[in-house]
Amino acid sequence: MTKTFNADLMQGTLDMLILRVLNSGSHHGWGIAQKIHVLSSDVLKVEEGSLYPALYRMERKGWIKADWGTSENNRRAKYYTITAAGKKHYAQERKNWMQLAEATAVVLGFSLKEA
Amino acid sequence: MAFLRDYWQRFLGLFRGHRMDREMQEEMEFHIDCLIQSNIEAGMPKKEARAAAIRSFGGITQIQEEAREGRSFDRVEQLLRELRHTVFSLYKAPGFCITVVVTLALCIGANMATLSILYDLVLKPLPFENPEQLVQVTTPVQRAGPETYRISWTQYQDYKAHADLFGGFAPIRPTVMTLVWDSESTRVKGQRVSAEFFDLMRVKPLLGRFFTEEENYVGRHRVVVLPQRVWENKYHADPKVVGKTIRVIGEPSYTIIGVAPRSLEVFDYNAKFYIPFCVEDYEGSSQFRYSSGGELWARLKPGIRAEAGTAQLRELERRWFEETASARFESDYTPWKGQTSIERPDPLEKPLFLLQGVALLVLLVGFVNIVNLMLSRTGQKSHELAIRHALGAGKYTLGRLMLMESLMLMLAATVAGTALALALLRVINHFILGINPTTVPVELSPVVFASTLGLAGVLALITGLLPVSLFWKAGLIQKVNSSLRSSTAGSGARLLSDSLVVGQVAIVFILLVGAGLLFRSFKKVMAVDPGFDATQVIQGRVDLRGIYGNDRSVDLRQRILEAMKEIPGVEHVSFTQNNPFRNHNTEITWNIVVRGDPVGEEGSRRLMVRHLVAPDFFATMGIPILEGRDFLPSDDKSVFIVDELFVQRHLKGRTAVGAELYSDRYPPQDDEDWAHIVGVAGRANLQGLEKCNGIPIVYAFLNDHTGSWAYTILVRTTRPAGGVMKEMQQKMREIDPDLPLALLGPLDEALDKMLVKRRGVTLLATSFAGLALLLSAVGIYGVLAYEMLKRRREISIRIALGATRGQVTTWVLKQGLKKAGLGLVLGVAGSLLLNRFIRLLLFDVSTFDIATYIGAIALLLLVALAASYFPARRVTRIDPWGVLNG
Repeated sequence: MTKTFNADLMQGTLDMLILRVLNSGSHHGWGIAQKIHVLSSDVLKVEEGSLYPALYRMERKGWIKADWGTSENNRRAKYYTITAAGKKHYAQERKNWMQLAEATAVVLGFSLKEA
Repeated sequence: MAFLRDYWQRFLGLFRGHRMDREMQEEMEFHIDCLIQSNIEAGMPKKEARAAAIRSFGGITQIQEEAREGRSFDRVEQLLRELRHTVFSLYKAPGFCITVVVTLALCIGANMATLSILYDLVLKPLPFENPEQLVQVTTPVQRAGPETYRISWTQYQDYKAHADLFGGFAPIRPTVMTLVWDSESTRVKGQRVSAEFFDLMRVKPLLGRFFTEEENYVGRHRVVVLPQRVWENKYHADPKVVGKTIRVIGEPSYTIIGVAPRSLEVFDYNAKFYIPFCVEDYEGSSQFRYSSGGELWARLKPGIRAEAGTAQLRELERRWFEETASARFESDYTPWKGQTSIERPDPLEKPLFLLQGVALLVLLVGFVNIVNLMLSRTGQKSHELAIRHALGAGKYTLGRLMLMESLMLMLAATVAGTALALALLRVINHFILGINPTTVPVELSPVVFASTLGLAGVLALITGLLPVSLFWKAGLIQKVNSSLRSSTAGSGARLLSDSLVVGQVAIVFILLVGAGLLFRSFKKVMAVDPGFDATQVIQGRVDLRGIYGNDRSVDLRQRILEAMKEIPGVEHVSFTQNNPFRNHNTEITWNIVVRGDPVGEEGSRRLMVRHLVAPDFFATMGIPILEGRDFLPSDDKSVFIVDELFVQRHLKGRTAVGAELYSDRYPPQDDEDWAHIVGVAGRANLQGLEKCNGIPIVYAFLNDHTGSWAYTILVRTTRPAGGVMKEMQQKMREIDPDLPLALLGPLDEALDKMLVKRRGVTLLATSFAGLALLLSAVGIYGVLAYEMLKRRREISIRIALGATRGQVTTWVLKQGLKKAGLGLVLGVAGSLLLNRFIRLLLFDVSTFDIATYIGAIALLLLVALAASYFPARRVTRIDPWGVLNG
């Protein structure tokens, strides 16, 4: 079994992952957590204790907005959608992350492409 | 722009709090349901799936809390929520609240009251422009008697001409006139002030003008300035009062020339008029330097230090002694001539600081209780705090919670304490006015209120935060299950509360001993034999000064004596020219020479107080004649009667009757001037019971003495005082309607009133000590009760292992007594160290009075025992099996 990591391992990572998930469509909290899990090939796990505070924080910052909708099993659920500001922020963060990751990789002595 | 939106969201959050909470709850529930579903799909049984979901989800509340903290102006909302919580949690602990609030209210009230007195009477700057420049010039003088502070017109003239470091000088002195107000003649007090006085204080007249330089001198002085209060009360603030006249008995009328503002009341609250200083011709003579009573005020020039001013005045005094003073005068005043100073001699300063010190000690004792109560409350709440911590409340949030509690309690206590202080001040004003009637009544000033409030705030800060931080340090809050019972409970907290109680007992002991010494002094004073029989004697004072000529005054005295004798039930009537039975008794002492005594260069050092009395004085006062005889109508000023004390002090081993005396420092030039003793009277403490070992009295005969003076009439009657007093007034009106009978009242009342200062001090000291004792009892009880609660397990084991209830009780009592005993040891040491501060207030009691110490020890031990008994009894009711299994 592969080792799982907490998605909140690095400050700011979780925000970016959430934005990534919402960039491809609206989801409720549970859905976001599941999607990150799946997208990371079961490596990243999102703690509920981190997820919701992050969602509320991002909502307040205007990157995402929340609406009540109906879930697949017909329950009232809160759906989060990415906003224009969120998209902009995501693009920026993604670029930053790439640069950071590449730079870190160089320092550590391997190329991301090799890995 | 993003921050603006954030701000807006937080703002909305303030109002949407509840809805958002609900929505959040719903969202969490949805998540958990999804989790359960996923667990079931993974193959878990339904029940287990649910439990796992909840477990893995962790603290919903914590998430909500964290979300909430970001949601709105968390401070405001959180504060309101915490406030609600605090009120509720205090409401659930009424016993705790009442104890804290009552304790603090008592302490705060007492301190507010004493601080008000201290501030008003000592610390408050004078209510005039640049008060720091204003100083009082005094020269201590000790001529045959206790030290007094005197000034004189010649000093004033001298300083005014030569002391250039000063902007000005102004002498003032108290005076009495018989005025007619509302067609009734009354003797009222006023002040004679020099023309410069008002200018020196930088006050402006409300109406009219103040005095001129010429009006300082007798003859041109019949002008009067009204104090604002008199103008308002007697003249209904009449704007046309200037130019009106006041009738004065025995003198031409005075003309009102102006109205002075209220600020001048600080010099004498009871002054009903200001008249010019009225320099008599003789006062300009150099023989009368240091001869006037009253005060000399001065204003230093800006930037001049008091030391420089003092030095200049001393230099002027030295020059005067060298150039002007006679050899005889210089020998009289040699030890004092260099002592002129510009510090304000304030006899109240020391006792008031002492009183404040005592009040602060009481506050300290009360404060210890509060700290201990808060410690034990924090202990009881430690489980709740631990849970809150687990749910995300940090150190500061917890501290804020406890602080809010202590602040709220402190607020309630301050309100109650202020009410108490106001009530106390009313009582205290009564005593202060009895001691010094010129004092403006003490009020609760904003300065005092603010500083007390500040002090209360600091105390709240300490009592609120100290316990939490101690518990935090001990790690008692960080783990939910480290509850009170299982822990050895914060040794830091326990050490603190133990040493606090020990210190508390020590302080209470010091206060108890102090109060005990004062109380014993008071009892001893009360037990002093006055040496005369004050019951059934009525006194009244009549002032003939300046009203009757010398020849007429002898006749008038005779008429008054006869008229009083006509009153039914009156047995004896007499006079004394002295004014003995009043509060502020400072009889003038004189030197006396006994014939045959060797008299050295510096003259006789023998002292006496002279009483000039009318016939029948000893019978009226009930003073026994022990040897020789009473005065006879045929006697003149060549005979004296002395008291027992005089014989003991000055005539030891000699026959008193027949001994010859002369009232001066040196024997008379002419042998005929010697007077001789005809009798020895019992010692009568006419200056008050406290002066029983004071100065011997020599009685001289007033039979045909001419002279227009003031006299105290003494009437012995068999009837109740009230009726006789009315008839005495009636008789006086018949003799002269313009002559009021002042100070009219029973002599025993007057004698009792002379003890007002001692009574006030003793009352305050004993009530403070009593309060402190009560607080310490609560303190010992509280600490012990809490300790026993914490050690229930230990006690249960002891009982389980076979300790009898008696043994357990004794063990608990021992815990209490151990603390008290340690406190007592410290207290004895402290008392021995501190009691010298009250030595001057003691009467015939040593500061190391063994009986008082033993009494205080016994009382404290008894209280400690009683305070420990209740926790001890509760301990024996413990069900050991319940405790050990539960």
